[in-house]
Amino acid sequence: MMKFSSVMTTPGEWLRGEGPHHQIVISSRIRLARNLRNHAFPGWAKKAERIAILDLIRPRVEQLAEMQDSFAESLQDLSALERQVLVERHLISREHAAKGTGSAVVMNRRQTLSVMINEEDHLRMQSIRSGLQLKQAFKLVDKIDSALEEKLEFAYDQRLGYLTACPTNVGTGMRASAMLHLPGLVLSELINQVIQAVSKIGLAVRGLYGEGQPLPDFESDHARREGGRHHQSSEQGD
Amino acid sequence: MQKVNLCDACSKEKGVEDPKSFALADLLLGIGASEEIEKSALIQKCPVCGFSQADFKKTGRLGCAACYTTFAEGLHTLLKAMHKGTEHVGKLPQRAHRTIQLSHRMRALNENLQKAVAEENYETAASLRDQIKQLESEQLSNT
Repeated sequence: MMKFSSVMTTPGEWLRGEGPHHQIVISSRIRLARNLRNHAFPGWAKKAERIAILDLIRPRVEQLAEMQDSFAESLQDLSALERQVLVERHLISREHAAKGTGSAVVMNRRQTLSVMINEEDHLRMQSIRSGLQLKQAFKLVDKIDSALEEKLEFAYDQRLGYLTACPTNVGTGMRASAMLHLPGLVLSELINQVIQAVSKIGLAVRGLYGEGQPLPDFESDHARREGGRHHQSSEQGD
Repeated sequence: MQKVNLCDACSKEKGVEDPKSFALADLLLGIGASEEIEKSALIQKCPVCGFSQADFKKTGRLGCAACYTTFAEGLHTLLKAMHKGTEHVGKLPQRAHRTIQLSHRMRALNENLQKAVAEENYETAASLRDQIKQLESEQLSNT
């Protein structure tokens, strides 16, 4: 079991600035949202149920081969500073950082894989890699999804797909995103035109720290909501 | 001229107030009908988790997986607007997949059995009955 101090001293793989097209693409990320069939979603479940859900999921996540020598902690046992570090490294979301009893995070040593338990959904699994490596990120997260699915009964509808707390995520529960550094487009004042153009082909542009955050001057981040199809994401997620 | 599409809340925020506008339901069912419909819909609760449509209006999130069945009607329009399609064509959990496959096979076998019995084809019927028994035990071990 890894300690937080070693998380602090070893930056995650995506922060190395390596990988294909690393001059432009800082990182690639794939996340999957999953829920248990017979439990209320975290936002609606009472505290006791959330704890029961956590007790059901956490050991199974920690037992994954990919999570050997992992870091796992309940949110209530992390200090404000520790949470902040995890948010900055994109290993947990801001929403998750605000959680307490009944929520946890499990991540691998390389910090390429992190699983949030009881965020908005029971499970938010994500893989984040340096440079443009959406396919590699997808492969890893898809593998642990299949492994967990053998042990947990996921909420799934034949017609709609995987069921999630927010209807926008229904279907594959996947979001593919690449964080891009585009100073040239900002300096030449073309960024807004590009943002408008990409929104027409189904891509969304978000700030460095996700939804609801203002776009910083020099960084932008592409995200695409996946309606029906599980794309083995190509460069633009479609 | 610039065309903008705003939701109800945003348009109010921007000072667009149109007291003369009325709901389609009012037009079709008489004034006040839309309010009635809204009221009854808001009272509807998910039998599994007790979540109501009013809660959804507040949070934008659902209560549990069963809510998708409870509020299927209202959600259908919403999902259609949000997604490219309303039929899932991607990954499916293997365990659920096996269960679905088994239930499909079971249905087919039962149909064939009924047909065989109706045709007084007892040899086929006996073989089908054995296959159904076999499948039943597979279904049990799968759960």
